[in-house]
Amino acid sequence: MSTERDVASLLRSWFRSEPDGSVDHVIDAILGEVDATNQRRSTWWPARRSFPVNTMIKFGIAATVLAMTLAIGYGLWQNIGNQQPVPAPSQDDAAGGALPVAVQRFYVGEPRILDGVSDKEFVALDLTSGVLRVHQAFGITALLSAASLAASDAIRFETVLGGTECDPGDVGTYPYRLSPGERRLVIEAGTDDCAIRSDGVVGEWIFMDCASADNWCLGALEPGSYASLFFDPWGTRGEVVTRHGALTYEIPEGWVNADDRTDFYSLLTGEGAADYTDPCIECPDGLWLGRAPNAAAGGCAGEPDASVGTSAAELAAWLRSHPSFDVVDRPPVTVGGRAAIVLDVSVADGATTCEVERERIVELVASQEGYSWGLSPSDRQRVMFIDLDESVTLTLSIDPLEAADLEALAAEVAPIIASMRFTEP
Amino acid sequence: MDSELVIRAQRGDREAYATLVTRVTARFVAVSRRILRDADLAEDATQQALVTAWQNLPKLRDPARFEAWAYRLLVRACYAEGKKERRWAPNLRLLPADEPATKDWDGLGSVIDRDQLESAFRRLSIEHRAVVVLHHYLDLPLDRVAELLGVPVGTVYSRLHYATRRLRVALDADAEPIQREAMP
Repeated sequence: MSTERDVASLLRSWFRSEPDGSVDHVIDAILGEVDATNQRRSTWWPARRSFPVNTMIKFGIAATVLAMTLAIGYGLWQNIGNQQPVPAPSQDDAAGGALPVAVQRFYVGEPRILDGVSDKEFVALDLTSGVLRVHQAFGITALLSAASLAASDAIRFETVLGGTECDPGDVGTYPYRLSPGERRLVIEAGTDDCAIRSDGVVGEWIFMDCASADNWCLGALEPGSYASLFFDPWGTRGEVVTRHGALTYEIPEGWVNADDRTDFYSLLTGEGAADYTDPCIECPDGLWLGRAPNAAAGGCAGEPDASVGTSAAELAAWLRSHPSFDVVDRPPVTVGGRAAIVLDVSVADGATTCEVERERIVELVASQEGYSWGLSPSDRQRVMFIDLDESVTLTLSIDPLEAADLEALAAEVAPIIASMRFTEP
Repeated sequence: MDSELVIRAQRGDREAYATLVTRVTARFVAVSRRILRDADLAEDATQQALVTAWQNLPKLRDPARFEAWAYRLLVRACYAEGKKERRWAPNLRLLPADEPATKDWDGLGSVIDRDQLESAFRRLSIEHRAVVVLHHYLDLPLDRVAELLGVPVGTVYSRLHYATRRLRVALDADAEPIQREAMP
């Protein structure tokens, strides 16, 4: 009878014994295809478009998550009997127990600077596996602590390892509450031997439930107020930084935040919204915002037409005169306190199309910021152009999966759009 | 991996990307060949992954994570190529030979061991094979495998445990002296 260790050993020997031949012809084939392939600086928004793989950094990381979890567990075990009693908001049978599963999640929230730790913002709270960490956007973590219940309504954090921002044995106790939908966690001020931990954890946190593992989006949203984390109409091209609250809005039941990127932000609803990941083919009904739009040069190259101005009026004028689009002016609306030009756009008969992802489209927007946007002949969208200030323009698209649903979707998103606010840095 | 090269490639520098491709292709082909058990499919998966990586490179937020991200694309490409394997592979099963039911567990002492292992390994799903190869061939710890595959560590652990158990059972069964049988 073999053992699992035998099998592992045999597998390792087997894998290493297999010869590997030359790969020069593979490299040649790859580079040949690369030479003939443009990079996708664009995301094709409309319905029935194929989205490129969205490769945002997955937080945190944790190359050492498992090891640290075990280490903390070991530290806790070692500290049994040495723990000092700490005041808790209330004492009950839950004290000492594991955090509820609904709390052991990854959250994002209002950025905070931890003095003496880093001059960059911490934006996420990680309670997965019953271990506390606060995260910056790109992998830096702090405040590593064991997390447990101090009471049914209070969390206990204990530093059990040296080399962190707090001293081993430092304990903090914080009242907490979850929203009815268990997607918002509020940690209130408590007591802590380590003051900086309070700076890191107190506040409202939102469960990050992005269907795409690499994406920082929030996923399904409880009704309420939300703020973007990365989207920034005033951002610097090519620079990815957190800009919490550049966009804020109110959302009703049934919506999903599927993208929060420097250059665009999406809110989806209806069938498929909760499962949306890149790439999608039958993309759900959605509301999409993109910063700094440019008129597309056409030909599916994802290149902007530099001869067209970038103000809302200039973009609208270009679109109205575009021979491949049928454009109908709609009454202007106010978005974030600014006037928006509103156009219903569809592809004209006899339009010149190009192919993207095996689908014929007409390019509309090809932003230098990194996204593009086009319509297929069966699409119909409501497009808005908004000058946020003299140099910053925003586009917003109401894009139903089925063209016939445009009016219904527009009515549904109207309160969301009306609630949007944009904040300059 | 050189982040500067990745950043240059993100900006459309094909020469920089060629350098990246040259650095990773041999390892990618080796990994995918061990997952897919087919050299042609492995080369196709590698090509698909690295062309997809080129196309989507501008969207990669953290250049330092290029290799991990590319590995994830490679595994996805293996999943896609694996479907072709299931569709087209003939219904073959290696028959146990009449040799004594012994194994050289210290190495690959006999062809029969290799054949039995090949047969048993092929019976695993691509998802299970990927975990086994990433862990036992690349020597990646399970949390790193989870990160590459985009699944929880627990899922990786259970896949590895399941795969190992299936392999052990299959190898033990194959080791029993049995009669040759006709296969459909």
